[in-house]
Amino acid sequence: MTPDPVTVELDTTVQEVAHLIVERGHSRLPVVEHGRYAGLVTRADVLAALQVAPAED
Amino acid sequence: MSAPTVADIMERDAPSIAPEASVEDVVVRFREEDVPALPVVNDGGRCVGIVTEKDLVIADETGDLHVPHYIELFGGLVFFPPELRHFEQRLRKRPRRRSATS
Repeated sequence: MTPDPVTVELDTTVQEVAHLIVERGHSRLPVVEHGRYAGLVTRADVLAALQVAPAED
Repeated sequence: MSAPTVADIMERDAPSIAPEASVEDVVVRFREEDVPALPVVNDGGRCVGIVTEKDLVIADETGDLHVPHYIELFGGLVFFPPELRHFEQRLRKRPRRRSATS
């Protein structure tokens, strides 16, 4: 595994996540709430939120 | 309306895996959940890592030799034993051709 992954918080904005994904090259980031794992946000989630259709592969 | 946040778009309680999980557990969970990666979450709920399909290959210290942990054969999974590392070391001693990568 990759230890100490880049994580985001519930109140991190979609814009900030988009920036992180581009900058760090990750396709998914764990979401943390009060230091505990709360879920996952993916590149596809961000693209959908930005109303950009993800490319079909 | 305020700017959308992670809370609006995330998958809540997306599948995760424990740090103690074996490589076999990871492969099985990837298949069951149909995901290419799983956050690694400990007993305390802390996300200590993320394990991806890339981690299922063994890379040597220079990162240019990859030997799979398992192969899929006739619909079943075949896991390579840890002794495979000896095989890796033998491979490492062989002269490498640049064009032979991936």
